[in-house]
Amino acid sequence: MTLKHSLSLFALLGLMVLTACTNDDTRLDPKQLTTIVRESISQRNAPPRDKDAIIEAASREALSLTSPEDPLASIQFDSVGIAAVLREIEKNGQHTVWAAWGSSDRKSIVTKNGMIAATRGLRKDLMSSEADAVLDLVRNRKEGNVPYTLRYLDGDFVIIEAKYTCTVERGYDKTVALATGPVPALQMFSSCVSANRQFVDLFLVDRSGRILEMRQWVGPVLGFAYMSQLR
Amino acid sequence: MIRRFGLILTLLAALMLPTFANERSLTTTVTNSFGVPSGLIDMPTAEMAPDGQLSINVSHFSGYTRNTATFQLTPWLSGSFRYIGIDDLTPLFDIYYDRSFDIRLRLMEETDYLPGVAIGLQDFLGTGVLSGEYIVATKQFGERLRATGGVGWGRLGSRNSFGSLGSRPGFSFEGVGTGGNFRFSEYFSGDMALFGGFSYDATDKISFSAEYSSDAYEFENQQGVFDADSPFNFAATYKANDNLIFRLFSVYGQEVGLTVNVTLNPRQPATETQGPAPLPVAVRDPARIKELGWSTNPIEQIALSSQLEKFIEQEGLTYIGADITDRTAHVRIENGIFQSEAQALGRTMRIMSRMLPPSVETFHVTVESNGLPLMTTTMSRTDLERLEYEKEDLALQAASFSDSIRFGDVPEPKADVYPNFTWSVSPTLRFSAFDPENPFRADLRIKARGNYDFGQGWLLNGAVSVRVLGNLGEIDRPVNSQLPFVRTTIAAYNYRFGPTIDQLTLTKLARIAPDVYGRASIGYFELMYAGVSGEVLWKPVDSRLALGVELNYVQLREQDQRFGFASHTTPGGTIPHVNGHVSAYYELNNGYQANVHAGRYLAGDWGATFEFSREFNNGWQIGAFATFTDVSAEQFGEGSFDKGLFFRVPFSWIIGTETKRGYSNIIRPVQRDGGQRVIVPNRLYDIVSEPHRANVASSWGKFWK
Repeated sequence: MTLKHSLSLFALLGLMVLTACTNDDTRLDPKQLTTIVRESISQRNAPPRDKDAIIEAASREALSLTSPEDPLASIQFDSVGIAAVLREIEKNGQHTVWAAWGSSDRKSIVTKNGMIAATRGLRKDLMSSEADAVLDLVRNRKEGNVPYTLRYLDGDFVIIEAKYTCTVERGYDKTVALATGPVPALQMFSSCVSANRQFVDLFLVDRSGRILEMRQWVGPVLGFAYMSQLR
Repeated sequence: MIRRFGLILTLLAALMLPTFANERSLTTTVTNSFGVPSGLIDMPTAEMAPDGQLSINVSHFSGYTRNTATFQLTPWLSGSFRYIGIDDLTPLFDIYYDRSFDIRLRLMEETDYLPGVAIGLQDFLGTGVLSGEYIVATKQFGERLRATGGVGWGRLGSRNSFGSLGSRPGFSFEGVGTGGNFRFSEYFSGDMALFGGFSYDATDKISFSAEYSSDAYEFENQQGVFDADSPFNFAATYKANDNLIFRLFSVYGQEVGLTVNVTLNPRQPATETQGPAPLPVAVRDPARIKELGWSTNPIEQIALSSQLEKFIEQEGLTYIGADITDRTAHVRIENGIFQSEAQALGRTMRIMSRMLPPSVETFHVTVESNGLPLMTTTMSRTDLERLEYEKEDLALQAASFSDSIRFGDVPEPKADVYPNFTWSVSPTLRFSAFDPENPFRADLRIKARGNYDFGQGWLLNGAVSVRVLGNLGEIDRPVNSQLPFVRTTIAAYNYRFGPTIDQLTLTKLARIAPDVYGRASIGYFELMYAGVSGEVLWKPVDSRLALGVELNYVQLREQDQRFGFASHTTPGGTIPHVNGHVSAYYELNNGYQANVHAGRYLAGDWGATFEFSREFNNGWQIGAFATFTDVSAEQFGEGSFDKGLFFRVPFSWIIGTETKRGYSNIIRPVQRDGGQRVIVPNRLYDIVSEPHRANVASSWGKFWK
């Protein structure tokens, strides 16, 4: 089989996927594909937008339209171009599940005491993590060296662990502007190292140990998440 | 002979000195002109491709084209299938085409002080035109330089030989016979020579190689095809991206050639699947766990079932039925969408946690396929709530798995599930490979398929196709088989315009007893055969071993593939009506699967088929098979015995959208009549084993996805 033949075979296979039609809704719907293709083309052609401005406007709107007791947060993943205002949709012990406010798309962020513990429905999700030791230092505004584990699914659906050692250090005093007013906070840096990666997470923590703002490494595809509590 | 093995053992022993430091795997995605992982040009190295890597290499220099597919079956073992074309090698053909198989084994990993060592057999199963064996060592210096040295036999011992181990006949067409057979007496025998070379990564994308070749291209030289003057070869390699590598090379001071290497790894999807997030587990308010008022209200019970159905169907799963009592809920589903059965279970249990009243503590989920309840998974709701964000395997330890029949009390299908009719219209491909007149021919057809599922395991499956375009009709090779013509006449079936009835079968699948499954089929099974088929399979849910037996009464079909039947009397003999096999299936660790089918084949020959494959959780499958029957190599004809490769590519891996569909096929170097089985739809093993424990456990991470 020559290369030309191999390429023709791949092209034919592609054609077979694209042109099939069926009444069986558990099988692939070709309409779905055209939607995906259309979306990716429109994303490629879309002019760059100022995400900060969009998030700010959405945050203002969400704050004005929701009850003052409802927790709200904003999140941005710059490396994949995701930005959203988040609302709580579920709680499980110390874990909180967040989804985009004003949207029914099935993407969620899970935090544990303010730190991102998992993602779902994004690209290369963070499946779970072992962050209690980091959280303990960060929330108590203490320094130290602790282990930290992030888990992902590989392309063959097997869980792979990224194990880090993190040095948690205090930074400067800052002020965080929440909807309820300015809150004094302390910078806490967590510098993490593994055999083949290193990153620095930054948390702004108030006196009660609540994480108000952070920049947290989530994974090789999602990169850093910038998350702020709005209320 | 003893001397030869003595030398090999001495060489191995010398190389297997105790290791002093960290072991490293020497890997590369670059392949040499024979298409095997190697940073050199014509010579092998001790490098392996990354585990699971699949590469297709097309290499060409004047009059010489090699197409090689190589699969890294394990981190230390690779196998290759090669198809070459050489201009004017023999007066019989303008282009001489030849198929061959290679196998390479890493004996020792590289350490700080010692090189990695590999042993390989080139064209060990074929005509032998490329045959050669080698033991080779490679050492990396710094980050960019790799040096290789080795000793070769056969082709690889043909230049500047320093000694020999016994005698080995040179290649000649007279010596080929039926070809395609093992040549145990020749491996590592005859003249030996040394080879070696360097590869240097100038940048991440560009590398250079230089080698001293021990292949004198003796036979090509004799035939006047190619004169390998100089032993020195050079190459420049450009990695365009992770999947595409180009190489420009000069060989033997004579020729300049080009290699294109397309490479992929089943473990790295072309498009990352990005489905919707699962619903979060809803944690109960402990104060409400004792509330049972709902259970006395039949309207609430009906509402619960209909809510479950709505949300389960939203996930793309099929809701079959449910039984809900005060403390226990049992839901029966069919998974037609998720590659991972664990994901189907996880999504269903999450929905149950959100829909069911707090008093329900135990969840059972039965997965069925084609109306057969196959496995029931049980988990306590408390564990589901507690482990949602914990390390994934904790939930696997908390789950228990039972045969649904042994478990008993499986929910009955709700009234409107059966009968269920599904249909599809899609393009399909029939192809013919390795005909010396045209190595690849194909027809594109449009196929309409209908499946009528009556429930209780009764299935009516039909498929009709029409040819759209292609060149399968051009095949006019005469059939020269000495056996009943059971498959060599396939070309006469393949090209028909149609409409052809590709399949029309009535099947009954049944649970005979705990761990035991049965199938009875009647109808038009495949293009060539109709008949009656019965099968029994023993497969406990948590067993790696399954045993089966199948008996068929077949009738040859007319070539137009309508309803008619053809005579079983052929120039090669009479095709017997009865065939069948006993089978053993064994799931090894890490997705490796070994199967043996022993029994009577279509031509009446008796023997056994050995299959070995690697099955990835994401739906990829790559494997090889060989069938040995009581038919002699002479009777069998070209190829000596039946063998080939099989593969499956899941569409979800390509497009990133959940679907269980995929493309699968079998590639045989040559299609003969010995060792052939009838293709019966709905064979039990794949249906039954898919949702069983081993498959669920191996992709358990997806339970929480």
